[in-house]
Amino acid sequence: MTFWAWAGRHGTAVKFGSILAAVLLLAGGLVLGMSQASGNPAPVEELGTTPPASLAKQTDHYIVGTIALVLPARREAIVRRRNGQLVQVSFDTSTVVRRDRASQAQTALRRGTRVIVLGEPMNGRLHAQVVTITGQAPVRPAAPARPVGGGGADATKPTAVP
Amino acid sequence: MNTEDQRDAIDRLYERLAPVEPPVDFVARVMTRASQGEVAHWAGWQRVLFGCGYVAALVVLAVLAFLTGLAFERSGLRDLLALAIHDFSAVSESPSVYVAAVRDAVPWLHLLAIVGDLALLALATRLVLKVSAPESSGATAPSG
Repeated sequence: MTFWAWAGRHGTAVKFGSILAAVLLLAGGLVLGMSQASGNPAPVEELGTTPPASLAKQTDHYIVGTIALVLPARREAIVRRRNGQLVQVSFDTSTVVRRDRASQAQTALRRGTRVIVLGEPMNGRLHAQVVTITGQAPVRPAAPARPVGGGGADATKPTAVP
Repeated sequence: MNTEDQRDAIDRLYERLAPVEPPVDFVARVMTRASQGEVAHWAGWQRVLFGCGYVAALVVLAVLAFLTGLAFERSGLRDLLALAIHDFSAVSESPSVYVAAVRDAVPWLHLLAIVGDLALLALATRLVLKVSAPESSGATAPSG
């Protein structure tokens, strides 16, 4: 029996088989792709203790990444995206910080904290409305401070990293 | 002129005809013949073309699904969806921002390509079924 003869006799089976194959390929491909991407993080360059001179411009309403630097006096933080880009995030008193389904103080945001930040992009930075802490990355020793144009005031001094 | 004179040869032939009971599978045979005649119009290269199109649509679907999975993970969409599941309060704090974030994170081009490929797969399946021939006469024909 040829394939064509079989397909001609079992039209319903061909239809449902095609649907099943499409669903399996779609689900399998998605899972494989996601596991592949999560297994290959971007190389991380140590930030040091001062804000970097160049930051990526934020245009999206969210960031998924790790806090690289916290500047509490300026109510700002530098967050490293998964692709290695550094983005500036600003806070205010209305910014909600959550962890394990409970509200936290903003002091819970420290270097190495994995976060999902939701907010509004403004002037190339993200103004955070909700910051959800999802975990803690292993903290590496901070690299020596690098000279950066501008800044230098007390406001730019980072917090002590525990 | 009597009645016998008015009847011609055709009428006399009709008188010899008697109603005949058709075979039980008469309709099935006719339908199968008709179907085979339709299939005969499809050339072999067309069958191969449709079959290759069907297989290619499946392969492309697998590749697109893999690329979409990569995009889901890299854009953080999976984390955003997990956030809504694990801590809905974080979403309800500012739902409009969350919706905007999901909208930003969705790889629309990938999804569009998948929808297009699914449409091609449906078309290829339809064509494959159209060019497929029944194995033997009467095997697939409806009874009655």
